[in-house]
Amino acid sequence: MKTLLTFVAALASLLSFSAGVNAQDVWITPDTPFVELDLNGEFIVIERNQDNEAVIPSSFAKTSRPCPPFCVHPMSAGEGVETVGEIELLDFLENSVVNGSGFLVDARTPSFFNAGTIPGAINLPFNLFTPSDSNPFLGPMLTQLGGNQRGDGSWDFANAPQLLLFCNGPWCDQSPRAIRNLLAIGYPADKLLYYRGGIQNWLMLGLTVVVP
Amino acid sequence: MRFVHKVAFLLIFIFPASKGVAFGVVFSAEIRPATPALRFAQAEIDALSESDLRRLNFYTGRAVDALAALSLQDDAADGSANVGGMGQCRMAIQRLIDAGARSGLSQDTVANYFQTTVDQVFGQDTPLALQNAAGDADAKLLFSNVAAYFATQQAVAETGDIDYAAQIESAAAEIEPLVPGAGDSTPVSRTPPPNEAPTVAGPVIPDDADEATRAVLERVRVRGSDWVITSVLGDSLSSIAAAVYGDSLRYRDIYANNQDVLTDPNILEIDVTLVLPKTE
Repeated sequence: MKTLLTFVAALASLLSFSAGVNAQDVWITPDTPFVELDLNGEFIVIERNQDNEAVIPSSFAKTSRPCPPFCVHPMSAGEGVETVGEIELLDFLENSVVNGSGFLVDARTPSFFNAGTIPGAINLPFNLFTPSDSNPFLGPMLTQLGGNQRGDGSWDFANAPQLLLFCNGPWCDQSPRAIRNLLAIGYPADKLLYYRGGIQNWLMLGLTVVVP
Repeated sequence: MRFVHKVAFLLIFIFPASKGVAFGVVFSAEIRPATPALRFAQAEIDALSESDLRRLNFYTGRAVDALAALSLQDDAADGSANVGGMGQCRMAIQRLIDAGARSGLSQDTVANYFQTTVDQVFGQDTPLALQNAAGDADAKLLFSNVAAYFATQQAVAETGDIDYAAQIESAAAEIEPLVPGAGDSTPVSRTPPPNEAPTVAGPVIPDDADEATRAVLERVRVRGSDWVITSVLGDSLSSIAAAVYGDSLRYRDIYANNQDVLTDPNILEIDVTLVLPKTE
């Protein structure tokens, strides 16, 4: 029984993956055909478009929007903030979002979010992070994220989650602006990550997008 | 009589996601032929859309993983009950039930599907958590127990009203009766002497109890404030748990409660007297 069970455990973990592997020939990496996750009961699949002739959707095909404001962004969104690509984003989903220690944040305004986003993302539009008297949402949102406001108005983010932010692409200033504002408020840089490629690069790779 | 035949089959799986290596495994095991109920479940499964099937298989795999993890812990026999393992197993099964419901599958259908998968993976070695009072694999029983477990939690969460009087009453009933001299520093044995007069009622045997359940319940004796049972040939911790609590997963509670006489949850010798933990 014991030897069998040791073997069985290996088999059981294999079994969980037997589904859905229907001769995919567009994998994410040489080792990873797709990613399947459970997010609090929500089943999430991220994979690439299997159509070898697929092209990027026209809404994200434009190359030359006017700059400013649509300017090319540097690799870093702030000192100490890690910039990540798609594989690191998937690892973040698996290792931080699934266990609740991190949030994948779509920092775009709701109209963009509702048109399609990365599976597992929540929508915290960048303008909610603007410190201003005309933004009553900042305090409650930071509290919701686990921040504690001290008597002098400054914030303690010791229990705050990791946030991985993205927006429309390398020419989009929405998530970098949110990151700059979070840093200014005192959110720890090592709890912030920036997916510079954004939705445009995500779509360019044919990765799964969901309409919330 | 159950007909068992030997089948060798080739399983080729592909690791997805982060794991990601493709390889094949040759696995030989004795499996049972599918019963009509299982074949019926398979027909419903075959009718699912690709995405529904994918979700179902994902959660089936996780539930099988959780069951295998329990069995591995049991085999390690590293002592104390791992209640967390029970919780994870219950949660994985509940998620599987939910996934089935989203595809319009009944709980029993999902349980049958789960059963066929477990049979393929475990062969004849039915995991303890899956055994009913007769010692047979019974995923439907396990699933209904899990669903009832979460339904109770949900009910408490929703009403927010707890009947404190009843709680205090039941808590008081669980306190061991005062023994003369208990007030001094003499340690009181956890297990009352065998001839102590009963202070609690024995189990009630439901009218609709099946033969195996009835057979187990009839052997439960009251000793002091405890229910005890002495093992006979054919018993397992899970068959007793299934009969007494209607919840085979609670074999772990019995194991935890009897560390002085048990060393491995897989092994129950004849003529061992077990103290059954109180009903939750």
